Amino acid sequence: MKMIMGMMGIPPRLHFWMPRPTQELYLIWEDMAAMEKKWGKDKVKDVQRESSFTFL
Amino acid sequence: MTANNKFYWSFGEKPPFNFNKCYPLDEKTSTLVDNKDTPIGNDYMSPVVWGIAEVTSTTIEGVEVGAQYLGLLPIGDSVSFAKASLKDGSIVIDRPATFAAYNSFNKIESDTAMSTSCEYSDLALVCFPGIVTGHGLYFRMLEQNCYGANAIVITSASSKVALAMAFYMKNDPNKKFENIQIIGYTSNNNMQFCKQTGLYDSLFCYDDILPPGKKYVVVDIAGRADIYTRNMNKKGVDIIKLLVVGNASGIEDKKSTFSAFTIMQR
Repeated sequence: MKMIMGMMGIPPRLHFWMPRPTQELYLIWEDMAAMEKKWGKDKVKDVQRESSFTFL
Repeated sequence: MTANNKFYWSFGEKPPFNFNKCYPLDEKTSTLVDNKDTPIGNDYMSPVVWGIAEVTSTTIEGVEVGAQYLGLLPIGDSVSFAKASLKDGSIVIDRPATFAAYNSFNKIESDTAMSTSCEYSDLALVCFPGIVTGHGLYFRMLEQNCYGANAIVITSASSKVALAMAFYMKNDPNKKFENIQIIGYTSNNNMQFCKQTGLYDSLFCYDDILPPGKKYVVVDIAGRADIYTRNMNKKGVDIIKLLVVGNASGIEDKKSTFSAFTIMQR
């Protein structure tokens, strides 16, 4: 249910409290939203900028 | 083409992704199919790839001609969108048939590796989607304290996502993964390469069984249900969480962990 709600684009605040299943389809967008909530948009941008150089 | 493109191809017709609906060919205007006597219908589409697009014309306030945006593009020279808007600096295309997260184009700043001013922008562009996902997985493990596991198993250990995830865990500034074993599953062909990275504490071939006595989180990038099933059936192997991430091995139908989820949603 949590996964489907996430895929439907329902805001994470409406389903973040639901327990995560043992087997879960990983969607990066959920963690991007969690990062923004925790760090703020500017820090997420900084992290992404830095990570773009990781394999170079 | 990379495993990333292979993923889009495999899941082009499967919800929720529907990648084939991103850029369907218009049979009246397309010059890509020579035989105009044969209707294109819904059988043809432009394959999607991550790419950088430069704005040549715009009616959206705040979007400048010449600005570059990273997004899922068709293979071709140009693309135009009938409806789009600007949200938090990103262009969001109105395309309800596809997964919303792929409808966003993010502005390329000049100080990122993908900027065409960077010497290695092509390499950065190929690696970036995998690195972002690998970083997201690292973040998830941090946030969830590895779900209480003491070993993280990553399949397709030579893939960009796996390497990025292992890299971030190994280099965590607070050494949060110091007591977590990082295990990779890979093919015989890529075993030596994976060893040389120094990112994995142990490496296994796809037919191997995990050692008993540990609590495992399996991060399945290969999309191989056989690894999960074989280990789940082994006494003493305690898999407390399976994260299904990708389908790098390209295994179709019921043998793929990823397919199990997409089939479920039909």
